[in-house]
Amino acid sequence: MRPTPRLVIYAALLLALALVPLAADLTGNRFYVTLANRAVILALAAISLNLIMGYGGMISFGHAAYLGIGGYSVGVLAEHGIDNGWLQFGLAIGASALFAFLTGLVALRSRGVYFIMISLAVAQIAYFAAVGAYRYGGDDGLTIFSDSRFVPWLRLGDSVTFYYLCLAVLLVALILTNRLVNARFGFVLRGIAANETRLRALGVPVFRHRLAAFTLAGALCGLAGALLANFADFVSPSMMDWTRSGDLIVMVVLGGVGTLMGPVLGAVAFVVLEQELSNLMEHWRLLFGPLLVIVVLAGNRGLDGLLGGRRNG
Amino acid sequence: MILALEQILNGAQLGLMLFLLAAGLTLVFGIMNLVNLAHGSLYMMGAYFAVTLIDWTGSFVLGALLALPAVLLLGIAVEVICLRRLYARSHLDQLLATFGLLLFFNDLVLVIWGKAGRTIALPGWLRTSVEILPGVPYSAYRLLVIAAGLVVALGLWFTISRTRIGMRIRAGASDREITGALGIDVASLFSLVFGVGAMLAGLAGILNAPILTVQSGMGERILVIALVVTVLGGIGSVRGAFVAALSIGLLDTLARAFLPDLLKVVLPASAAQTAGAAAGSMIIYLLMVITLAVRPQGLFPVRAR
Amino acid sequence: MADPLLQVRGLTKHFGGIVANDAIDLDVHAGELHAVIGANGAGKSTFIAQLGGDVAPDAGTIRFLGRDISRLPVHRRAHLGLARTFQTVNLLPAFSAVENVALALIARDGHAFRFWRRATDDCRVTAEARAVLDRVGLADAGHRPAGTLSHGGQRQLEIAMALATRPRLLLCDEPMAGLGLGESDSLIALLAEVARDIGLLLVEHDMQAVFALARRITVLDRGRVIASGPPAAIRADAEVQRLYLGAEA
Ligand SMILES: Nc1ncnc2c1ncn2[C@@H]1O[C@H](COP(=O)(O)OP(=O)(O)OP(=O)(O)O)[C@@H](O)[C@H]1O
Ligand SMILES: [Mg+2]
Repeated sequence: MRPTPRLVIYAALLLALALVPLAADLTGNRFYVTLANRAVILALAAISLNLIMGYGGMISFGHAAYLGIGGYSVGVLAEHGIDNGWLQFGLAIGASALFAFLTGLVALRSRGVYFIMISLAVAQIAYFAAVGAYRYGGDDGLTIFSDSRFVPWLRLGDSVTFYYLCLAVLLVALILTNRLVNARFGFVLRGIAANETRLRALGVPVFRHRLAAFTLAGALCGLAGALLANFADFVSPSMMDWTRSGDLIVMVVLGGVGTLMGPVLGAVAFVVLEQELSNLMEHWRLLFGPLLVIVVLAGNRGLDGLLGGRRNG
Repeated sequence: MILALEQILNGAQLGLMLFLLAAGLTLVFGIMNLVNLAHGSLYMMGAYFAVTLIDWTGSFVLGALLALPAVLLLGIAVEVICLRRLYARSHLDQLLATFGLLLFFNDLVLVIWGKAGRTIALPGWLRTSVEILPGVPYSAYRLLVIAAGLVVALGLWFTISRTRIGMRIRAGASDREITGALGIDVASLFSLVFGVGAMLAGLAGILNAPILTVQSGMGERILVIALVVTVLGGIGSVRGAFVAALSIGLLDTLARAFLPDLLKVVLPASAAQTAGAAAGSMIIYLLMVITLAVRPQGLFPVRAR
Repeated sequence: MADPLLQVRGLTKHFGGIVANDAIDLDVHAGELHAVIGANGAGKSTFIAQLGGDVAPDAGTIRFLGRDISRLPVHRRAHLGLARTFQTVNLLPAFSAVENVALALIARDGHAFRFWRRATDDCRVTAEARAVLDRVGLADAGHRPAGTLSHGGQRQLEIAMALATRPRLLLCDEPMAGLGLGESDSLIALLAEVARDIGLLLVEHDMQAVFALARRITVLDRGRVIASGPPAAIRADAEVQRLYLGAEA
């Protein structure tokens, strides 16, 4: 296979991400690792959203709720002195999957804007549940004093170790997503997004496939939330604010809806833009907001679309 | 009992403010098929315009009244420059672009009016309270807000159900193609509807400004509730928006007022306060989810979608 | 005579004040092509939609293979062997012709909960998809996005997708609409061939095709069956002539 420009650029992007700690060491600027780490975790959440939104055609406007559920799973267990990573992450993934499953049971019977609004309302319920959780800090959030512990040699407290762990998870998620969307399940999921009535008439149980995808995406985003909690050593309801869900949508669309690497590109671009623009000017959203409008009005397919013709994925 | 009456009035006030936001949302939604996340920004801009204009004129009433056409013009400008290009686009595009507008306005007010929240001082004659029942005082200003909300709701109902322009708007909300077929200048009608919707949102912001702190992001929480109201009432239905807004306003206020007291039976006081208020906020979203699970098109569906 | 494949009794559907289907009785047997004709708005598509499960009947029963399917969801009916094409072309335009058919083949398996192996690496599926395309005359168009096919090609692909599910009964809603002469001829030949093995319910405005193909014809008028029988009887029916064929001539 001849390497296309897109392939080269994406390989370079992943390589660059892998080299960030080295560059940070050389320049003595540890902050790069923090920045890249945030981008990598958000990329994971964006991949999860893209799975249902890009490939499945379901616009979830409450995806940040899963970040919160994953994060709180870690935070709450840590608060009770349980720092076993397997338990924490298992709970994060399981609880998010369950929440997604239950949300899907209700929301996936609706279409279009009604689906968007139900996903938003459900996320608001999760948000206010965290606000009301007085035992776990309520509105003020919860500081996590111990990192998740998996095996003795893996210390998540070390920022470089943690970064490479996140990057590894991202790579695995990319590989799995790539398999998934091209396997029968993803093929049918994309088919449903393209023409639901046709697939149903062919005999596809549409609801079941959508629900499975929704649950899977919830689980993946819960994992991202567990990582985010370890990254920030802190969880709070603001992780689940509806504007955070908006940010995730922005990342996916900015990068390229329904493309494999689009969410990664979008998350990196989002974090870099946020950083660069806010260095440039305090009120960087004054530029970022109109930029989003222009991205939409220009009608392009996100950054991935800029890399030329064919869609990947 | 006395407390309950006060809370009912508070709930009605919140409900009417929600209606002012939801009326614009539901019309824009129903007629132009636009999901507008920036609607809360117009609410916020109304409040900020009021801050400045009251400052300039030195008169609360004059400033507040002048803020209305200001938001109307802003709304029309936003529609002409940006939003009218989005009507035919996917919901995802609309979400993204109007989210961009929301971010823009949030920072714009920081640049113009500064970081610190602003408050509006009421004139003396509004700072009094009125005895609504013997021995039950209630803020005069809040009563005025309720009255204003009711008057606007009535006016809107009259305009939509009894006038020519209202007929056109209704035609648009129930069938977009018809509007064009009737030979109505669709572009101006859309601008007008959006402008008026913006003005109503702005009015809610203006009326709330003396009660709340005027600050960046103030439109976000109320926007989400207004979206709930819109969907709950049935997209495109002003009547549905009114019923849903009042129900949600009352439910939200009463739940948040009384749930903490109920929870105090089982929880320590401070915990009950936190948990009760949050549970009160959750209830409206639960209500929405349950209602839509049973009636997927909302309470007053305008047409099959 | 053997039990009918499809047995419809008293099927009724109202849309507000309109009676779209009024107590329709109709049977289709295996190996039989049964045509439904009627003027625009007579209720033909509504009838098909109720058989397929997209529209819920107000009254009446639909029995398929001896089983009451009136309340079964769409995909369950498809699994029992009920396939359909749509009046307006209804494909996945961005997917290639092979992929469109492959989706139908996968759907036949009941679910697609396979998460790892590439769907298009499955030789059995792609080979079978190509074979079906070959059968409908689209052998050379397999790799092309469905949306880029000619109108006739898209109609053929519709039928290929339906056939790929290996139906016992095929419902076709105006498959010839908008086709050129040569195109409809080959489609007529295909439908005739298909109807040798399975039941075929054909809604069609092309009277020549209908009278050439159909073993039985049912005529709908404003939702009601006004005549049903072999082509010769329908041709001779006075009411049909007055109401429908007369208008065509
Ligand atoms: N979803 C619906 N809502 C309301 N009325 C409908 C609906 N579907 C069909 N109708 C009405 O029911 C009647 C029958 O329509 P149908 O589409 O079944 O006719 P048809 O025989 O297929 O016509 P054509 O030859 O034009 O395809 C028409 O009057 C139509 O307007
Ligand atoms: Mg028809």
